[in-house]
Amino acid sequence: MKDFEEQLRPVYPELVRYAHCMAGSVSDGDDLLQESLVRAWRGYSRLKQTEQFKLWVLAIIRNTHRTRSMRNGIRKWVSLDNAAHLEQPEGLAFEEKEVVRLALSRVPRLQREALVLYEVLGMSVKEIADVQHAKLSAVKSRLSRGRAKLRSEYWKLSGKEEDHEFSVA
Amino acid sequence: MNSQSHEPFDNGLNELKHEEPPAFHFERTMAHVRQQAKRRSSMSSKMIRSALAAGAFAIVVIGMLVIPVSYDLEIGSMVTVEFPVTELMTIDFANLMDSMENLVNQNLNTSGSEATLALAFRDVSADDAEALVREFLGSSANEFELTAEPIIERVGGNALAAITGGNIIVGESGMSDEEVEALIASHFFSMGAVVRRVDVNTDNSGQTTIDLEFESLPEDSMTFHIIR
Repeated sequence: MKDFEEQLRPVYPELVRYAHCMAGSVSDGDDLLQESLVRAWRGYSRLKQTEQFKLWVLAIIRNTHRTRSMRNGIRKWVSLDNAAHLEQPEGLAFEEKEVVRLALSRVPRLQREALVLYEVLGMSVKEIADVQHAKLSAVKSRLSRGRAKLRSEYWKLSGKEEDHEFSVA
Repeated sequence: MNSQSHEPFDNGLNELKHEEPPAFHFERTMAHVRQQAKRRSSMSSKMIRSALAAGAFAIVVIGMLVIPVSYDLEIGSMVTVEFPVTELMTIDFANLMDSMENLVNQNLNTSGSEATLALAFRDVSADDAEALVREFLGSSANEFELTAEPIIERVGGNALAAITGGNIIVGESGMSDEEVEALIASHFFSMGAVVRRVDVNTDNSGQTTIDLEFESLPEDSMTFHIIR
């Protein structure tokens, strides 16, 4: 357990960000992360390339998230078309990052994953292609379509009119 | 991908990029991981222990079923009383069986002027049986020749059969027909059967004939292999 923790600690913040963004909320992200780390700890003795630790745990989180999504079905999907539930009490405002995190949860899984790895974790397209076992072109496509979807959902959540001046180059 | 325009949500993405977990988040998560791992490990250990115990039990049962065993078992004793036939009248044969506890068989043989009385006891040691016979005979015992020997059964078959009494091999070389009769009667008695009569006769060719007559039989079936 000690070796596992030593490996985990430096990359932990990135894993937290990834889990939170993939799950769509902090609480669900924490649950996802905990479940994934239990699995990772159990399989740690079988990990041969310890320098790949971060990518390995990311893959576990990714698989755990996919399993949980299948298990939970569409339970976590809330209709953001009706933004009434996001009405904020007067004087209080959602943090920008919370709105974006929520908007991200409406982006299709593979696009969301590519976006989070690229925008939040700062990984290269090549690294994302390795994680997703996809071609570079597929990753670029997912990033582009993901940003478009994120933009659409962001405007819906923020209750503003979409500014069509912004566009993906 | 760096050529894309800045969009309003990029500020949020940037915040997420630099978001740090709250204090003690790592410790809290690891505590949960340790707890879950320990619980699953404990469950796994219990399952392994249960499986091992079940496996060991199965091996023991299979072993008992297939591994042949053979061992000596002292089931009682035989007291032989030799005396002149003229002394026959001094023995109270009518009360012989009732007078001595665990006396399961008696056999009297006469040959010329000599008589031999063989008494088989169940679950009584040779010394105790001899003492019982001496007490029964009273003062006459001092005139008679008493010999007390333990009755040894050679129990064979598989261990489970030996334990349940389902398949028992009785063998004792060098025994006379009378001794074998007493042994057989004793053995059946120990199995819950009361023998009314048992005759063992060996002819000149060595062929042995055993005639059995039962007073009562146990409800369970019995299997015997009698080897001489």
